[in-house]
Amino acid sequence: MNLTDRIDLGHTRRHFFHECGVGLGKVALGALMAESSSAEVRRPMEVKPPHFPAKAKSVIYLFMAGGPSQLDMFDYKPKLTELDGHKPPASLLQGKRFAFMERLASQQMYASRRKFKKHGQSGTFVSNLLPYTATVIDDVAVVLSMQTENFNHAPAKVFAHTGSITPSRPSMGAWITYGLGSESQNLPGFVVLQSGPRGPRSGPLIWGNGFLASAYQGVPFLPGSEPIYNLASQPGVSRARQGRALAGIRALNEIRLAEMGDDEIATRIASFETAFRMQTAGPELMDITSEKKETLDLYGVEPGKNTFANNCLLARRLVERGVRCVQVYHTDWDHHSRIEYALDLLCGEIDRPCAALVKDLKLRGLLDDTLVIWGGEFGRTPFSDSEMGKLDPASIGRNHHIAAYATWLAGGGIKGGQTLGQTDDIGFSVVEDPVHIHDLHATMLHLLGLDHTKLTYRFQGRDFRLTDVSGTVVKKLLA
Amino acid sequence: VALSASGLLSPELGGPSVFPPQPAKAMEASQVKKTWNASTGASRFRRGIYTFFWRLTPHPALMVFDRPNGMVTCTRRTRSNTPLQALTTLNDTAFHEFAQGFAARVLREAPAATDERIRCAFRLTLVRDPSTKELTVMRNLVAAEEDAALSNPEEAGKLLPQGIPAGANQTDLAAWTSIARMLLNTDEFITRE
Repeated sequence: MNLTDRIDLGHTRRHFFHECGVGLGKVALGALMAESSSAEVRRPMEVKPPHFPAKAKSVIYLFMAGGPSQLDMFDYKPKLTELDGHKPPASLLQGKRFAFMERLASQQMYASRRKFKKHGQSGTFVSNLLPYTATVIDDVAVVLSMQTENFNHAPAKVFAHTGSITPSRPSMGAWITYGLGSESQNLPGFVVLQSGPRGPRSGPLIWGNGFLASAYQGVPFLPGSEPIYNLASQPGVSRARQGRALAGIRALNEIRLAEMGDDEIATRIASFETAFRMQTAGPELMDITSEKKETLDLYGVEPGKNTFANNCLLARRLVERGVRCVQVYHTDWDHHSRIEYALDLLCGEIDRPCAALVKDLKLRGLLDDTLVIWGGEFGRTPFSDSEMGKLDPASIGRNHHIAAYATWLAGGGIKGGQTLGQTDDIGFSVVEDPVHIHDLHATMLHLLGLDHTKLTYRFQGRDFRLTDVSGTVVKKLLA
Repeated sequence: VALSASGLLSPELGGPSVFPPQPAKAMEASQVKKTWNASTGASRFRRGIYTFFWRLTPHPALMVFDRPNGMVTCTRRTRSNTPLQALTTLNDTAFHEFAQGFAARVLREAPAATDERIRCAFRLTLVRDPSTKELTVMRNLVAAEEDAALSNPEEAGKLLPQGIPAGANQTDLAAWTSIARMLLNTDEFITRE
């Protein structure tokens, strides 16, 4: 109906605007209703059913920030020993891009100085840097053929966590809790633990919620008895006073709820009560001295300190309490120089706790439904590098490498005792079973009972996924 | 809103960013150590838009309350309602100071009778008078807080900032700081419909 018709029908200008007004009002009301009825916003951490039966209920990601050297830990390359000290063939580097290109000219083949041995019934190669990890190797699937897309730390980390190098997308922990909620009533569903001399580059971007609701952002736990910001009450607010405050808030909210019938008020009441419970559950969680001495020794825990070992034990305690996703970061793996010294130090810090976590979870029957992942944002080259410009044994290191690196997975439906993927003779390129970050994400979601192509969120006019438009579940990794 | 109700809000416009209080460890997430020296005086109580923003270590309260992502355009603010928000409004230093300011304002502005104070507090927070039912609930809450402040003056004293305003006593101020914490945390106050 056009305007002339309206005039013909005897509509006045006033009628026209009146109708438009009602029409626009309806549109606006519709948008409001749609917003307030979207369930994931109202009860964000409510447990949601997976797309299909899940193997894993929780994920612990042990993230080695900086890029650990796979060639010194898992990818055994005897051929590289023969070529040690030679120039890498120019054809290999042609057209490839690396970080710190200006140091490329001086690079030589650099073989691992570590001793490799087959371990466990599976005969998986592990170097003498990781004697403890070697003892649980039959529960572990080592992937030697990981690939990623950016050779600088910040974008590579963002990519490894969000499936995009552009910071602004939700992290995997956010996607997982968005998809599944969390079983923990007293703790956040997605927790971040950090150790090492500094926070990882990119900071909160790699455990952020992106365009998902903020309820899905990772909650960084701080060392000490107050792991969450504002967990402790203010001076003068005793437990009794806080209890009275909560009761008062509830009484006022309930009067309002009875009047308005708005579910959001009920959620508010629940949020405040959860917060009150967190105030007790938080310090209780952090008190690792309640663990048996054998357990503390297994991990090599030092109570009161902020170490990777303490965080591995905390990760188990979190998963035990129903927390869905735990990211454990250990920094300082960026070994451009002094790699031999640094690897001794870093592997010494992480080896025992990593193995302890797998053992401890298994002992408690938690390994079956907890997926443990170990790895960094990329690996390192088979060539020498040095920030000091000297290639003497003490100052030598390795540059970033994205074409082939290693990650391991255990528990939660992973087929342990296997090595997946193969690299060429010098460990430069993948020659068999490449596993891209998107594939790792797809596999992780699959084990959690989520189809990575169906876990979507509509934002700015299109559906987004953790795996964007890629990703294939790695069937060979599944038990 | 809590800042405005507290009577502490600085109406100043423009100028450099300010540093309201934030949890002590909030700057530790990035690889470079930086400091956050909380502003004092009026700069402590500016509108949130003036809060200094470190991209890697944003003010935790902004993160918890869905600050829009600076990397992309924000076409619609997300709504959420979470326990971490509750912890912030219950326990954060800034919010605690708002409650202290609000208590002092009620005692300053309302006649010295419980019902009058309750009415004043309702008008300042919810812009309406309490219903009969609410008034009854509030009277009981105020009485309980007054009892608590009387029976444990030491704990009540810790609740208060330095310098008690003239004409108010510690019991009143402590009781009303507790009451302020309740009103400033009701859904009706936090949510704008």
